[in-house]
Parts: sequence; structure tokens; C-alpha cells
Amino acid sequence: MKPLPASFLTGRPKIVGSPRLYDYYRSYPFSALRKARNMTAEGIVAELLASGLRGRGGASFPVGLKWQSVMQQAETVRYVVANGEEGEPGTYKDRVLLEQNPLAVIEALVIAGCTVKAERGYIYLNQNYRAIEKALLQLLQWLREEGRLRCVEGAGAFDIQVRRGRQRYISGEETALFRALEGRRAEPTGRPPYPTEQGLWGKPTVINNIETLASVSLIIERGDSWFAAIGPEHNHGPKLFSLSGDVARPDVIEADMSATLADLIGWAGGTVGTFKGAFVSGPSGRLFLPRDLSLPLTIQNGCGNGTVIVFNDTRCAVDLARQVTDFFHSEHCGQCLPGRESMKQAKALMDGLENQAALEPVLQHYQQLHAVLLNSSKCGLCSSGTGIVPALMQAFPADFARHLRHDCPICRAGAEVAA
Amino acid sequence: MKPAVTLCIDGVPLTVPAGTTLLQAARQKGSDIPTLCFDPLLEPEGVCRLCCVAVTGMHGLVSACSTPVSEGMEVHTESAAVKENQRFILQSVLRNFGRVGHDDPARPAYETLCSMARNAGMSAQEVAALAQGEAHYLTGHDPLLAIAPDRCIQCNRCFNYCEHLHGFHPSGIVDMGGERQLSFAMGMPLAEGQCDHCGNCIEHCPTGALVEKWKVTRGAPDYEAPSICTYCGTGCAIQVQVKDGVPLGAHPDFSDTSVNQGQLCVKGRFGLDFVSHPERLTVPLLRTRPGHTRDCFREVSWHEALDHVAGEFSQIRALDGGDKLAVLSSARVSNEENYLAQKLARAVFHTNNVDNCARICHAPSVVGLTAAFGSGAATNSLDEIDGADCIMLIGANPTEAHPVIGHKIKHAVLHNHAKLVVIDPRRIWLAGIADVHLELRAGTNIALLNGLLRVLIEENRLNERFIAERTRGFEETRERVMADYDLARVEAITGVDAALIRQAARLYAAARNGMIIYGLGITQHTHGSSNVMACANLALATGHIGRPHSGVSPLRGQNNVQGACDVGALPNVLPGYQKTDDPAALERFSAYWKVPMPVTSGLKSCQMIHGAKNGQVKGMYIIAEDPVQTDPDTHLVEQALSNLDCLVVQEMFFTRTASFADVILPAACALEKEGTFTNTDRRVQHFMPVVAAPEGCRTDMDIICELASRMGYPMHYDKPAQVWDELADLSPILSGVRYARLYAGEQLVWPCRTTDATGDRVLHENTFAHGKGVFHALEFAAPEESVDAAYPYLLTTGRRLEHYCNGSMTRKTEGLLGLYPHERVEINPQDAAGLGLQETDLVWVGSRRGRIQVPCHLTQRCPPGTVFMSFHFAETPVNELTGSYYDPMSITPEYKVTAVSLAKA
Ligand SMILES: Cc1cc2nc3c(=O)[nH]c(=O)nc-3n(C[C@H](O)[C@H](O)[C@H](O)COP(=O)(O)O)c2cc1C
Ligand code: SF4
Ligand code: SF4
Ligand code: SF4
Ligand code: FES
Repeated sequence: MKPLPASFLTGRPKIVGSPRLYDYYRSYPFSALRKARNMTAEGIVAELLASGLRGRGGASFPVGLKWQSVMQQAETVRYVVANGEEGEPGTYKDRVLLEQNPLAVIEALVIAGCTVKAERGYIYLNQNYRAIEKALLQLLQWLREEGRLRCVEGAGAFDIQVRRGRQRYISGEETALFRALEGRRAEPTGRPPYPTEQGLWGKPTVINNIETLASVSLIIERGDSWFAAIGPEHNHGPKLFSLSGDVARPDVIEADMSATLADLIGWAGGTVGTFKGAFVSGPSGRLFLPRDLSLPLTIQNGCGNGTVIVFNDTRCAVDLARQVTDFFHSEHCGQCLPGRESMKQAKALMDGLENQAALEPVLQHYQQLHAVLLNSSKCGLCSSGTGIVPALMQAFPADFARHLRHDCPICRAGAEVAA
Repeated sequence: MKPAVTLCIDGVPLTVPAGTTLLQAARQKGSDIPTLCFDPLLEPEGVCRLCCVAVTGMHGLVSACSTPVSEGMEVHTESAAVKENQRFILQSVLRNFGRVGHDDPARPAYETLCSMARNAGMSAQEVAALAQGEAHYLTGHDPLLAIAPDRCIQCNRCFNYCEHLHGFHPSGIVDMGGERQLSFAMGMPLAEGQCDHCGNCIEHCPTGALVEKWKVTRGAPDYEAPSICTYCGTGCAIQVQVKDGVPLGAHPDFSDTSVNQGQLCVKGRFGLDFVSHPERLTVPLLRTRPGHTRDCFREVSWHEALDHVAGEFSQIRALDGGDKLAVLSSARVSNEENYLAQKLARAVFHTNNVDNCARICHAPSVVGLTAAFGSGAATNSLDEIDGADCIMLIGANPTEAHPVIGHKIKHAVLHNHAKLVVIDPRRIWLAGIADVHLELRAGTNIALLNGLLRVLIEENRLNERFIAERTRGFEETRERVMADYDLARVEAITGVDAALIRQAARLYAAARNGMIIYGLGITQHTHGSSNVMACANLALATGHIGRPHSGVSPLRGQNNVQGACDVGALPNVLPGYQKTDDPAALERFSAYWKVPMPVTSGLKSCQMIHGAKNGQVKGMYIIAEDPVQTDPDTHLVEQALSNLDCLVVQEMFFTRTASFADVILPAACALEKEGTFTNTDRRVQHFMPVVAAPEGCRTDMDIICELASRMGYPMHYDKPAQVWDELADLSPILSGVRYARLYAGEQLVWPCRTTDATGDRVLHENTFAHGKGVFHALEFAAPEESVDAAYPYLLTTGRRLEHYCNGSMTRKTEGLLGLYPHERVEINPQDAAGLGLQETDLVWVGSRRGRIQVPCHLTQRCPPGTVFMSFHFAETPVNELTGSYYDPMSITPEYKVTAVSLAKA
């Protein structure tokens, strides 16, 4: 087994909820912020571009380009937002990061605010991150009192507000998140205009994932070449992976994107039982099978937000497919017609599986829904939620065949346990 | 100019301004991209995804309705992926649609969807096979609207449009995912106070999910026919929906040239049940014994009725002289009929005793505006409201009394950055979006308007050049205002903060185009005419007159107030506002009519009532009016009418006034005849019969002609066009308006002197009708009624959105009655607390003339000390309280200020 690379983003004691929060605050060096104070906005963006940092929220968009685009807008009222919704099943890396090093995120948000000349930043948190919210509010209070919530000490007004969401997967989608911050229904709005053009309150907005922001602090502190040296080509920097499911020690693992699925599972104590497959980047991501264990989890291979849910051969693929379908059926917003109709049909397909004569038409129908959604749905939720189920059907036809025959011992046993 | 962008749509290059959407560009090129959720009036919602098109180099499709063009884009509107997406979406919609029967209210929308589906490549059979199951409309949670949840595609066009139009939020979106739905489609009622039931949202529903309830309960109409709504002076053009000979409702006219441009209000759209109501009078009735019930009359033939009337009137004419007769014509009947009514008075009765109900509403406008500007009509067209950058709304509540004009004001304010100043004792809806609301004490208008003028003078905000070149009389006015109307005094009289008065004056003066719009809160006062002149003073002082979007416009209450006056149903003017003391005019009329013209001056309607009481009038002919309910001081009116030798009432229903008649003649309504009405912005609008009149009813025109002929003056016209021609020949300001032009759809306003002119939409452009605009130095005097210890509250009266006039029409429509079933007196909660009143408690409202019992409604709309009631309900006859005080110049009664006492019943 490869040795676990050194940690930069994580690896500290949990500070949220501990009595030593003030000590942490006092001893935090703010090295990035200090350095940033002596840099121009262009210099900061150049550094980010050179580092190769891509967003860690799932879409892997180059961070420097996003900031640059906001800077180029004519509108001068701008916002910066940290996305900590983390609603995807199996995803908890941002929580761990925030619990250990919340100031890295605040620091990066201040840098972002100075770089794009925003007056206000927001940190949007998952509903359950109550303790984190409390710690953030306290830290922000101290920073405010000391006039440190800005690049140039004592200069212009910049402030950060913290909001907790309503435990909705969809509110992690950036445009839905803006609507939630505005006090409206958390439903995506169309693109274009992109958030960099018209985001929060219709103003140019930088929105980045929590881990992305923490990485920004690292880059400014240690330099772009340090960051670019980590990980394979086009996949630079440290990366957090949330391991869960049938592994011995579920945990957030910090590695780089040369790590293979097998490496990650190994660092998490190995599969419990026999490896059957994994959802990489969560249920909205990609199905990895045993033959894919040696694939590195690069952006190109679909590492996405770094979520890895492992399942062993005691799991029935139909049960997994149903869970995924139900999850997206209940979490999609329902505003767009293809989204709403497809999710309805997808659920009907899975609920009525036992009444079908053959799998093939079901597969085709599900694939068609996925194709329609990729083409025309309003946001990425419904399409990303309908990708993995056809893959499960293709990978595990035997599991589905058992269900068509009304004869799945695994699910029957599960149902008995539940009853 | 925005920079141009060149793109390529289906291989055709195209250059459009930046910011154009793909949909706009494609439509410009002639490509037909289907849409459902897109609405040209609204921000794109982008949820149906039917408009998705392919763009080279982009993954997936993009929604054309919300995506702007960009340079070099290659767009494909017909690719396989595009069609496939359209098929998926339309299949989904049609599968949810359920079967669509012949009578289905969503049939038109369904047919559009089917043709979209065929265009997307589906066969007719495939399309037909999709409709399965029954669609179900929810009809239980709203009195007028129904919705089929399964047909709703949640585009939210309906309620987004409502927000755009009204600024309301009547329904929300509830839940998410598969359970997501409009709250209205979930059976939740529309938010109270956030829905006017105008029904305009219906027109924006692309699927027919949202419809008029009657279309579900009664089925699809057989045909539609155009007419003009008769519920207020706006003059909305409607398409009446008829089934089995019964008008069930109306759709608006959608053309840009119409007054209403696709909008209607709740009364216009839903209030047509009265036409087919079983209580319609269909047989002439002759009194057999004293009393006020129907059984005091017997049914007689037309022949007998008319002979009787002609006999009675001829006898009075012969024995006492024509001046003992009086005709009270109506702002609810056509121009032609009003013309004939005044001709009957003048040529047949030989009296100038003819008037119409404008007397009790807008006669002060005629007096005041004529004195100031030389013409008594609105100076601008309604279309110009949008475009004014300051609107001063005085004593009018258009969102209830003239809702479509209310929409225009809302649009100007919400979407066109107009400043709004509201001057009204009540916190009417528009006060909520106003920049300044001057909550004056009722009856103190002159002091306030003088105060505004004072600010203009003090702060040098006058249009000196305009004053010098186009007006006279300013000096005297200036002196009066500067001597007596310092803001401290104005504040003391009106109760309005001086700072607010300043703010309002500045907004009006700073505007490029300022418009004063006023209503009965200006005219129905003992100083009504002076109030109007005070408004005119402000326009003259700022030069906000004689240009588009700048002027002074009264809002006419009834549908043909303007026309009834224009065609001479007034005691002091002949048709076309020619004076009854102008020898040349008299000469011409006499020659045309072949009779000598009456020379004594005529009685105004309120004088007729007093005349009836004291014997000065013996016979009265009342056409389509209900003075017992709508005139002030009911007891006086009742005594007066009882005192007549002969009272003839021409009506559709057995009203309170009809119950005093000797003969009741059943008349046809506007939907049953041809004619013209002239709306509040002087637009002459033609209408044709939509349905046949009930057997036994005759048109007012018919009845008047018969009566004249029986009284020895043969009057015969084949059709209304002949009446119009006579009237136009005799009235220079109308002579260019002809039926042939109206038939051809021309929109004509008067003055229109030649057949190649379309009339002056803006009056007084280069010169005032009488030369220079005249300032009037006006003195405030307290209203006749004042509060004292016994009568400590001020009662002011007005209209309700859902009802009209004496309620005889609106109360015959179940849905309207459901929305507002009975009158409530509006009281400020603070006053209510003092009186120990709770919502819906019964209250005695007493004045120096009478008292009535009515439930109360606690609301902040009334400031403390003021209470409000409408006059629509015979059961709570508010005019038993109002007094007989009149504006001396116009003899228009005071309705807006009555001192009352309140006590828990
Ligand atoms: C359905 C959906 C849910 C999402 N949820 C999250 C989330 O919980 N956290 C997050 O950082 N990004 C989430 N995203 C991605 C965001 O839309 C956005 O791309 C991201 O916040 C940008 O930050 P980054 O560039 O730093 O990754 C989600 C996207 C979709 C379509
Ligand atoms: S794709 Fe799904 S989640 Fe996204 S807007 Fe449409 S219905 Fe909502
Ligand atoms: S009926 Fe009129 S007021 Fe009511 S929701 Fe529809 S548009 Fe709005
Ligand atoms: S009722 Fe009609 S307009 Fe309203 S959301 Fe549904 S489909 Fe759209
Ligand atoms: S018309 Fe464009 S998404 Fe509905």
C-alpha cells in the first residue's frame, strides 16, 4: 500500500466545539492574508491560474478564471460566497475541514473579497452544521472587533455573514443557493447569465466550495508552484476524499489525485467483505467496478467532489438503484418540466420493476430519461441523478433479473429486518 | 443603440442587437420555436424547456427564451435532438391532460398543444392516444376561478403576470419535487386581499389549466360577440361569451388599439348574469294601488302602457306647460338614446328639464374644467397615463372603481418609474405604492390644493413662461394663496404634514410630464366645481397641460357619463355643448327638428327632485336610474317621487325607484341593442347586439320614439346610425364621427370635426378652447356637515370593486355576490376599540337625517375618525344618511362628507 501523502488541508485537531477556539484564533498566522495584502488583484488571480486549482464542489471549474471573470464585470457591486451546503449523500469533507481549520476558509473569502472588490461575503452551511456556524460567528466577531476582516487593515468595509440552509441537496446548486440566500425558494435559475455575471441579488458573484477556498489560502501562503507540484498533470493540489460505505474506517482522507480507488480504500482500512463497486462523486457520480480499482481518481476519471461510497457483494444493485432514484425523486426541485416528469417516470420504473417482463426496456427508458435531462433540463441535478442507475443495470443484470423473478433474498431479508 | 451581434440560425445569418434572446432572434427570422412558459410581458422563467435549441459547440440544448445571442453562434432549431426534446415535453404535458371533450374549457389550449406535437414529429394518432383518464377541475375553493392541477405545468405565468399587473402575490409554490404545485392548484384559496378576481391571469395560462369557473360548470360558449363593458367610464372592449343565448362572461379585446389591451376587471369579465336573470322585467307594469311592492302593479300591453304615459304627459303639458315635465336620462344608456331623451324633452315636452346622472358625479368637472380650460372633458387619453412621470391621483380609488385604469397607473408606477402622489383620506391600495400619500381630512381639498400651489410659488417651481403666454388670472390667485394659505394653516385645516405637502408639490413640479387624475372625491362635495378648478390651477401653474402625458383627467363613473353630456342630456346645453341661450344654435335645432325650442332654463336633476316635492314638476320620466338608492337623502327623494302626478321609470329590474312609479317600462340592456358609448377619454365606441332582448323588452330608443310619436311628434328612425347622423350633423365637435368609420374599426375621439380626422387625443395643445387658461382664486370653506359631539365621525362613501351603482346588475351575479355579499362599514381599529367593536359586529350608523344598521369591518384603510361605506346595497341604504347639500355651481350633491355617530347595535 502506498503511504498516505502529507496533509495540508486537514490533519489538525477538531477545533469547533472545543474550548480552545480562542487559542486557535490567536495562534492562527494569517500568512496568506498577510501575503495577499502585498499583492495586486491581478497578481492573486495570476497565482491561482498558475496553480492549476480547480473547484472542489464537483464541477472542477478553474478558480482563477472564475475570479477573473467577476473582476471584468462592469457592475461594481459584487459578492463572494462560500458553498458549504454539502448535501450529497456520503459527502462530509467540508464539514471536517471547517471543524479543523475554519479560519482558512474565512481567510480565503477575505482574499476573494479584496480581489474582486466585493463588499460582502456569505458562508452558506448545511443545516446540520450548527456547531460550525457558532464557531464561525465567534471567529468573525473577533476579526471584526480587531478590524481584520479586510485585506488592508482598517480599510474599506467588508463583512462576512453566515447562513444555514434547509437541508436540501438542491440548495447546494449555486443559483439555487443564491435564491436561498435571498430568502426565496431554493430553486435553480437559468444559465446564462452565469453567477459571475449575475449571481446573488443579480450581481457578479464568486461562489466557491469550502475546500476550494481552503486551497486558495494554501496557494497564496505557499505559492503556486508548490501547489502545482502536487498531483498529476491537470489535477493539481491536495484533494479531500470522503470515504464511506463498506470500508473498515470511514473517514475523510487527504491525498492527491494520483490516488487510485484501491489506494483510498486501503487507507480507509480496506473493504469490509468483497468489493462490488463504488459511487465516485456520490450517487450523482460514476459507478466504479472492480476493474476500475486501479484507476486514479482524477478529474477526468470523475473524482468530482471526492465522495467515495463503497459497497460490497452483500448489497443488491436494485436496492442501491432504488435508493438513488428515491433520493433524487425527493430532492429535485420539480420546477422544470423535463426534470419533474423524468423523475416521476424514473421512480415509477423502479417502483414497478417487479411488474416488468424484461430489463432491457426499463434500461432503455431510463437511459432515454437521462438523455432528455442532459439535453434540456434546467440544472444539473436531475441529469446527474439519472446516470448511475442505468450503469447499475448494465453492471449487475443478475441482481435485476432476481427482482424480475420476484426472488431477491437480499432485499427480502432487508425487508424482514426492517419489519 | 446596443452593439449588433451576428449569428446564424438554421444556416441563415442574422444581425440583431446584443441582448436579444435566441427566441426573439429566431422569431424575427421567421422560425417558429414552440414555447409554453415564455410570456412576452414577463421575465423568462425557463421551466418548460420546450423552446430548447441546439447550439454548435455546446453540450446539450439551451433554452431559447432565456439565452441571449452571442457573436458567431450557430443555432439549430430543427435538429433531431431539438425535436426529440419537444416530443418528450409535449408527450408529458398531453399525458397529464386527460381526455378533452367538446365542451372542455381547455379545448383551445389542447388544440394548440396537439399542433405543436405534430410539428415536433408525432402523428395525429400518437397524439390522440396520449389523452387518457379524466381531467378534474377544482371548483370549490374560489367563487370565480377553477384549476385543473394535472393540466398545470407550473410555469407560473398566471401568478407572475398577476405580480406584474397588480403587484399581488395571490398564490405561491408549495412543496418540491414530484409534490411541487401551485398552492391554488392544491386547493388553497387565493390570498385574501391579494386577488381582485380580474381573471387576467387566465389569459396567460398556456394549457387551459386555469379557467373561469363558469366554463367548467356551464361548458364552452357557443359563440362570442364584441361589445363595450358598461361597468364604468373606462369603456373596455369585450368579447361576450354566449351559450344557449345566455351571456356567461366576457373576454377582453386584445388589440393594442383597444382601451383595455387585453385586460378586464372582475365585473366586466364575470358580471353578466344579470342579463339572463329571472327577475328581469319583461312586461310593462301599471300601478293599480298605492304601495311599493310588485303586486301594486298589473301587467299591461305595451300599447296600453305607452298610451297611458303619452296621455298623462300630454295632459300635464297641455294644462301646466312643458316645464312641469322632466326627463332624467341616464349615463348607462347609449349616446343615441340620450340624444333622443333630450330631444323628447326639448322638442316634445318643450322643456329644458333634462339631465342625466352625471349631475350627481361629474357635473362639477364640466363646470370647473370648462371654466379653466374651455372644455369640460379629460384632456388626455388613457394610454397616456403610462409615460407620465408624475401622477397625482386625487379623490379616486381606481383599483376598485376603474380597475383597468388602476392597472395603467400601476404599470406606470411599477414598470415605468412614474412618481405617484395620492391625495385621499383613505389608505387606498395605490397609496401603498405611492411616493407620497396626503391623507387629508375629507372635504378640505381646496386648502390642500392651494397649499400645493403655495409651495410651487414659494419655491419658484412655477412654469413662468407658460403662465405668461397661455394663462390669465394668475396674479389674483397668487395673492390669495400667498395671503391666506401658508402651510401652517393648510396643515391645520387638512391635517396633512406640511413636509409631505412640500414633497408632493416638488414631485409634481419636477416632472417632465405630470398628470392629475381625479375622481368623485373631488367632485362630490359642496365645493366640487371649485375643487376641480383648484386642480386645474396646479396644471396651469406648472404647464402640465396641453401635451401628451400631461393634463387633467376626471375618471367618469358610469359607462356613458361622457356621452350623455356630450349629446346634450343636460339642462343648459344642447348636443355638442352648444349653449341653450345661443340664438344661432337654437335656430339650427329648431329648423332641424321643426319645432320652436324651449327658452326657459332647465332644472338640474337634484332640482327636479326638489321640484317634484314642491309641485314645480308634475311628471317625470326616469330612464335607467335609481335615485332613491343613489341620490343623497333618500327620504327626501321618496317624498318627492311620491308627490308626482305621473312617474315613468324605464328599467331592467324592479328597483327602489321603480317601486314609486306609475308606469314601469321594461328596457333592453346594452348587450341587446346597437349604439355608441363615449368613455372617459372621449372615445366614441360602437356596439352591436350580442343576444336578443327577452321577449317583451324594448330598447330605450324604441320606447322614446314611440312615446314621442304618441304625443304628437312623429319620431322614427330605422336604426341607431340615423340618430347618430342627426346628432353629428347638429354637433360640430362630433361631426367627423360616423358609423361607417366605427364599423371599420376606427378609434375616434372627439373633438373630431371632419371625416378624415381621428380626433384630438390631447386637448389644448396650442391654445385652450376659450383662448387662455384661466386661474381661479379659490377660498376654502368648511364642508356643510361638520362633526360635533353628537356626530363625531366623518362618513365618506364610494364604490367597491365587485359592485356597481345600485347593485342591480352586479348583485345578480352569484360569483360577485360571493366575493362581497353585503355591505360593511369600514372603521379604523383604534375607533373600533373605543366603541368596543369587534370585526363583524353590527353597528348603528346615524346621521342628522337617519340611521342604518350594518356590520363593521376594522381596517387601517380608514384613518381614525373617518368611516367608509358604499352605496351598492339596498339593505344598507347609506344615502339615508347623506345630506342634501349641493355644490352651488353644478348642483352636485355632497356624498363624501357626512357627520355620523356610531354605536354598537
Ligand atoms: C444539484 C447540485 C448540488 C450541488 N451541491 C453542491 C454542494 O453541496 N457544495 C458545493 O460546493 N457545490 C455544490 N454544487 C456545485 C455548485 O453549483 C458550484 O459549482 C460550486 O459551488 C462552485 O464551487 P467550486 O468551483 O469551488 O467547486 C452542486 C451542484 C449541483 C448541480
Ligand atoms: S433539473 Fe431537476 S432540480 Fe434542476 S431545475 Fe429541473 S427539476 Fe429542478
Ligand atoms: S384574478 Fe386577477 S388579481 Fe386574481 S390572481 Fe388572477 S390576475 Fe391576480
Ligand atoms: S395554471 Fe396555467 S399559467 Fe398557471 S402555472 Fe399552471 S399552467 Fe402555468
Ligand atoms: S419557453 Fe423557454 S423554457 Fe419554457
